[in-house]
Amino acid sequence: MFDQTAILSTYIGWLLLAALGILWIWLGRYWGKKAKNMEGFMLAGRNVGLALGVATTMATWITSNTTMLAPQFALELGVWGMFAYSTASFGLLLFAPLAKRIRNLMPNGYTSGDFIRLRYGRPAWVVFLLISIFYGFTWLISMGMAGGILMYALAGIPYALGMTAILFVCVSYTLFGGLFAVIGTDFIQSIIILIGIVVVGFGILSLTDFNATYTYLEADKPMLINMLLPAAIMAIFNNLMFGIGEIFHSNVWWSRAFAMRKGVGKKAYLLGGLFWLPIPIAAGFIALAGGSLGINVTSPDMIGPLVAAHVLGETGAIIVFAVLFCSLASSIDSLLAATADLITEDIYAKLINPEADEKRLRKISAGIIVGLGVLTWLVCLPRVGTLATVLFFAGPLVASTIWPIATGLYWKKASAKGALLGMILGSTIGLIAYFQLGWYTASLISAAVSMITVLVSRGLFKDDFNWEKLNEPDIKSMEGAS
Amino acid sequence: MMIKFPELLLELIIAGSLLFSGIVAVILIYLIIKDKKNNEVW
Repeated sequence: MFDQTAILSTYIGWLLLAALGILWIWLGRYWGKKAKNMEGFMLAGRNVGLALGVATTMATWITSNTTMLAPQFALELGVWGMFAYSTASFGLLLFAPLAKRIRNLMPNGYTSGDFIRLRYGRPAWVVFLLISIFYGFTWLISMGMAGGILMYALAGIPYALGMTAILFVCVSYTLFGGLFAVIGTDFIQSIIILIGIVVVGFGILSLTDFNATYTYLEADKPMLINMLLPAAIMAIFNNLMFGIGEIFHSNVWWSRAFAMRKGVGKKAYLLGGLFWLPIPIAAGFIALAGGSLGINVTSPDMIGPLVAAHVLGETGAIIVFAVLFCSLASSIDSLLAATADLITEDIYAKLINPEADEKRLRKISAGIIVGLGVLTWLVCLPRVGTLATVLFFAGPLVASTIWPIATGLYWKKASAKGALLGMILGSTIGLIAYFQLGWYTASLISAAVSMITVLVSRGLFKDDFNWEKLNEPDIKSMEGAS
Repeated sequence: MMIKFPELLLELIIAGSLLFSGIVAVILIYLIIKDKKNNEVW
């Protein structure tokens, strides 16, 4: 079946998919040889340098949601929509000092779950794991869906087939190479994404009349260039909180903090955040041109690829295809690795089988990567909604973890009860806001409720934490060395 | 009364974002070459 809106032939689409897929799997196998033990597989030997550190923070954070949702934000919320998406970079910037502190406090740590367990105890740890695994899975689904949508929109490849192919490639190379493969491919993917966005962006700027676009917006959709669009301004703060919540709690970012060489983490996150800042604007503005070009938008998250292909023809479509494939792969691989680490370390090794040796853990980790891929595939098969619907449902949950994490890292007196209540109350009230008020309020309200709970609890419960407790002996690497 | 983003400002922000993204790609390549020279890639 060939879709009327597809610009690339299905043949070229499959060719690109095969070429990029083979490249990533080959690189995964190549870099995977470095992973001699579990620490190598999970944390790339804890010795990642600045260049790879910056590239992996950027590439992982440039998801298909950036390259497809930023245009959707621009289409629905106008100029402020693009800026709202850009605020997600603040999460990376604010995580920079945390990355340094995490590395210093937990030189042998493996996951964000390790921190919550050691810092707040089991009840908060269980709630945190539920939130974190749900979020990781939601993010995976949103990207699996994006993969299918992209293949169909650009090359007419049926949704289910495209989605299956992308998941298969990402699962394969993550399975072979662990974090070595993930970080190594992230560097190449970030370069392809940046060059692609710049080429497509300047191409569209030079081939379209910006004055005509502005005149069209002024006459037909003035709200999109309104400096005081209330929903969009609300979306800025909501996205800011969502972004901070996503980064502060997620093992994707904690595993990188553990993986980077001592002294690198803070710089890498600062540069990564700064470098990421303009990407949603560079990728999102093309949607504003959609109306003046007379493009019929059947699904808002397809606006970016459609405009690029309409203006730049087959070349534009090929570049967008490569950019989106890299955006997808760089995030799916990170999520597969980080979520598998979380389940292996926090659930299997700590709860189910504490006596498991390194060989056993490696097998379990591989099984979980495959299992996550299969589960994501099953959920993605029926397309459940637009990308924003899927992604923002997790917003209030992750926003509730911001204060427990930040205060837990810096305050001896941050209480375990406060962290637990903050996550439960923040998530619950945030979800009520999601359904009653709108997605663009949910993360903001969740973070506010969690903040009040954590701060009040600090006064009510007199905890006094000993930082030494976070420095847990590294049993896995000792086993690997013996 | 609606206050609109001026056209020139909007165009400058967009062009600036694209230019900065291009510079970032160059910086990343510079950083990896530097790390490679110092044997600090991994």
